[in-house]
Amino acid sequence: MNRKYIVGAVVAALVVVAALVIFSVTGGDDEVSPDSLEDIALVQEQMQGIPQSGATLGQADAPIEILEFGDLQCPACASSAREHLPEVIERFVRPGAAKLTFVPIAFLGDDSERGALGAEAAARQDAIWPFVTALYLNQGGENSGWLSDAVMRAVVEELGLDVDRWNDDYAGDEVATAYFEAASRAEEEQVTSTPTFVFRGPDGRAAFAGARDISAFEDAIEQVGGQ
Amino acid sequence: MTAAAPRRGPREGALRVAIGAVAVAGLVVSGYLTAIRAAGEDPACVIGGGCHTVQNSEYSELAGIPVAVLGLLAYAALLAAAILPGQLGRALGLFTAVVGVGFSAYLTYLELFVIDAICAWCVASAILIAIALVLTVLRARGGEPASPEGPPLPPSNETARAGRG
Repeated sequence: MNRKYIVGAVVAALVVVAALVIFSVTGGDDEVSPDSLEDIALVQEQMQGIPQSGATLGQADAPIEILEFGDLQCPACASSAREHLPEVIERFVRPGAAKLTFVPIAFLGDDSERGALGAEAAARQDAIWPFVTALYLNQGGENSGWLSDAVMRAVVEELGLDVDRWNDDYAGDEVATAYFEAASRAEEEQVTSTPTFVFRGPDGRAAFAGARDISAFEDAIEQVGGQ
Repeated sequence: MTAAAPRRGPREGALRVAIGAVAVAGLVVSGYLTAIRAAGEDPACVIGGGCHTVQNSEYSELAGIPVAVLGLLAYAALLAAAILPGQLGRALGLFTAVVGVGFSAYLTYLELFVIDAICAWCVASAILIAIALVLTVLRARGGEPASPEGPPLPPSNETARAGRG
């Protein structure tokens, strides 16, 4: 084959590869900075007026408990937080039919681990749900370093929590213990993917994995004896 | 035919068949990945589950187009290159294979060092496109061999010299 064609084809191909890679690297919503957090007000509005205690959102005497096992870096968890949980909260949690408990687990890398510890520290201020939801709405690329201490601290501050206390808890032994307890809890519940939702009610237990819509929640809640 | 114009490597026809076969295998792999992604009713991040993690990663899309679909397009182009005779087929094949190998290398880097998960189907595709690159390079180096579609080689030293110019 004519050398001109070979060189032309290879050069054109390399240009296309470079363009694809640059597009992939810059195209993602990677940039998460403490100064550009989005939707914090939306999160606060979503949970306004709902009682929170530890890792639980909702009334303490709600007949159904829904556990969510989530990794803060998992895109499916973020999609669940963005698209489905707001409706679940309005339909079931706000009226007191169910309460939601978040169990942070970490399996996607260092950022996941930091996020799980940060979430446990937020639970010490009864604010795990606004904390994790705000991070899900601002999620960056896996293990890109987006889930930094600075970003988590900014979320804590914008949510109006006690930053110094969060700092202490985040680095403390209690939170580390809670982190390991969450991992063994996930093992007990046979969690193999995130998000996994476990339902407990008067009629027993139900569970499903994945970012599923309101009808999956309705079915599971009905199955365990709710509504 | 003189020593100045030796036939290098396998014949054009055989190479085109081999490239076509690789392209079909690649279409199967990327078609499968496209299908499971399209059917992703319940996307989840599977603990220790390579393909799910990779397919749900934010790197699995480029401007909203799933990478699996880009793979389908690339293997379709490779198949077209295998079917097309002559210079155009050779140039298209080489172009597609170099793009494929380059982008696959980047995606494999992401799997290994960024996403921290390996998807066996993606590895299969990377191997297929690497084989395609070897085949398309051989085909491109083959010059104008005695393929049924190509013009017959004049057995003169003049052509050989011109080809080297």
